[in-house]
Amino acid sequence: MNKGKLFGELCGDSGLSLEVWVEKYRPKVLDEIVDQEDNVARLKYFVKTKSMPHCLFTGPPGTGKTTAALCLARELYGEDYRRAILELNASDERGIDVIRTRIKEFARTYLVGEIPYRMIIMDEADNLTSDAQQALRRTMEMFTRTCRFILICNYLGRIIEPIQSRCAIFRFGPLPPEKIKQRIEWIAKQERVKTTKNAIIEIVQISGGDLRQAINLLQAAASFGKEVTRDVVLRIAGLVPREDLKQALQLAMQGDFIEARRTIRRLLYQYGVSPTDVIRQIHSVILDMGELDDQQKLEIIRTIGEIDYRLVMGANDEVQLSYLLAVLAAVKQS
Amino acid sequence: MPVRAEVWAEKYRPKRVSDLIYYRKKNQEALQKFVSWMKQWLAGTPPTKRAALLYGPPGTGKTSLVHAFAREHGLVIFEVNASDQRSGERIMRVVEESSASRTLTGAGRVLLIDEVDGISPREDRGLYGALVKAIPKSRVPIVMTANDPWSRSGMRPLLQLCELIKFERRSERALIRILEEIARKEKVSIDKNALKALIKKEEGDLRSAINDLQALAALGRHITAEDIERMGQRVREYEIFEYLRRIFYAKSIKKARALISSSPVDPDMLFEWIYENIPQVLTDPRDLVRAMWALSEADILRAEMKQRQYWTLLKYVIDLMMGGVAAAFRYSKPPGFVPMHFPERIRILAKTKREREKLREIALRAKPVFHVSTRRFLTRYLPYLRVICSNDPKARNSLAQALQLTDKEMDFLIGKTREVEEKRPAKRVRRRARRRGSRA
Repeated sequence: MNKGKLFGELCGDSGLSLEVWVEKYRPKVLDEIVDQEDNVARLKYFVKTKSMPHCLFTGPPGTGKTTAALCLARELYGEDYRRAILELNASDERGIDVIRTRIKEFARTYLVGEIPYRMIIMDEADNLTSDAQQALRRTMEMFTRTCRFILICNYLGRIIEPIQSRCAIFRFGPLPPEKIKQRIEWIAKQERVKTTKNAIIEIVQISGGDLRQAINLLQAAASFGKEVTRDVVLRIAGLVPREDLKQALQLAMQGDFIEARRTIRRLLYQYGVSPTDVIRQIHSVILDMGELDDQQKLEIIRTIGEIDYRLVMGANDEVQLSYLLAVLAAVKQS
Repeated sequence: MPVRAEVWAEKYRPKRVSDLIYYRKKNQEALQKFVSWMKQWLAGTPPTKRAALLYGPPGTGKTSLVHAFAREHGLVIFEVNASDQRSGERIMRVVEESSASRTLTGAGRVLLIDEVDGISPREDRGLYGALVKAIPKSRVPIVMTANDPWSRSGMRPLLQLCELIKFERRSERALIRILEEIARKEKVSIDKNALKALIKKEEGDLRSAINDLQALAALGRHITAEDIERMGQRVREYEIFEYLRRIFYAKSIKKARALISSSPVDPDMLFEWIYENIPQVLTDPRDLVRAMWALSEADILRAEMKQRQYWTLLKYVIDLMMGGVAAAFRYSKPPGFVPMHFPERIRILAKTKREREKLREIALRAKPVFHVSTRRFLTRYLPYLRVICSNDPKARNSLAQALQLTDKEMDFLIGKTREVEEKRPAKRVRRRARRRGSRA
């Protein structure tokens, strides 16, 4: 597939407005970015001086990293900034070949205009293999004159040090609840959506500092065309069929691991629930389980944390969730 | 190549009992036993044991015998396949219905339950119980086939109610004669040595041998023994079952991991086999949790290994997945015979492959629009988009336009339909084909 062409076709200014609010309300300029004042100030300085180093944006999802990169590009290159940038996602293109071919091809030529370098935005860079990172490090040096990199990652630790040392590092923290609240309320006002106070509090709470999730949640809740209440929000957030999940946990604790695993499979493959959602739902259910004492709960929560982390690291969802079921079965028996 | 390829194994199923070629005395006796059991039914004096269980290795002519006999005597076969859902209820219903009246044409009936030991014990929890109840009062012959009826403890009460008829692997001579006949009719030119090699490779399983022959015929030239060799060894299920048992019951990590060199499947697939069968063997939760812990550790290392291409990690993955389960075995009772299962995860993933491919294709189009990887699009956006687009036509249209999706694709994306493109019947045919494949 010709991605470059698609890109232009889809995102060109064809007058089409995408009614998905995360995109519709994605900030266009740096000043619009929610929170992150220090980062924004530094980026604006790059715009002012029209020069920038390679950058590394790190922080949890939904805190404005990709948006900041796109805003920076727009302010540097103007509205047709897309011709000057290459967007890559390491989670889909993690091989060394991408570095060797696509990047080199793109970075080889000079950019005619006020700013002499192009920009490569590499999202989810922590998914690059170590070989690819080594290759990237060389590429970054070779093309310094024609190209700037913005690497975006969730975990700085997974980026090799030589790359870290070649970049200006920007840390994006989770957004404070107050900022998420403001933004959500503002969007609701733009869209003329009625919300209750409790609904907003719930959205902010569930999002855990991830603005993207908060906006998605708001739009999904608003799509019913009625006032957004706390109940609706909770229902949306519980996209995981809760009953099935509870059933799986019960079965596991009764020692019927095989049946519990079957239920989890149904959630994952039949309902297509995201494993991360499953694990987080389990977390929210565990504390209220009367049949466990606090020590047992702690043990389970520790395992949940471990598994959540592993899933982010690319482990197999079903195997990891099954491990949790086995822990539940054992905790109850001992 | 013919436009519509027929499966030879079906095409050349014997039409009459006399078409069945058995050289072994035991199989001749089995045939006689079955025929006389059936004849008691036809004579209107049902035998005391109202069910017959034909058992033996795959491809030894069990199902063929039933079909040939029914055809010859004008009997209608009611087939309940083990892969039908809720077989228990269904069987009760069929037994009742067929006992109540004869068919409209007055023809007699046979109830055939193929692969009765191949059922999923969970889904068909009620099957064996229903059979135990249904058999003594049945007014139609109930015929079952199985590879290894003792592999399922749930089947034991059933066995006492059945006329047990054992089939053995067929002799090489019989198989060669059958294959030669088919080769002649299909105008396939093949060496006698090649036929021998084929039979040896398939260990007496006629259906597999016929399937192989058909595959080889596609070469469109004379077939030699070398061609057979090149086909490679098909991994037989019982081979992996045996192998798994050796891992699970290995006394030490060292012994367990030493087995890796003789693994019939690659490490990834072995992982799946072990993962699937852990709970069958390690029945005590204390053992189960330790084995699952080791496996989950192996899993994360495996992910790391692949993502970063640190292939040196493989040895630890193997230690954990093979040694981990062997070491976990402590409190669980050593069972006599544990049935092993094909990895369900792989089965599900194969079944939903087209759907997942389609989703990925759509996710690729969504990438430049949402600035996220395909994986994150599917896990973090799609659940919300499904709700949004189901409720809000405006959002739906704009998304369809942005991603250039047809109405049907949009329905698929938001989960309104599971159809990708093809119509359902086509899918069912494929599934049946696969089932046949797994039986072969």
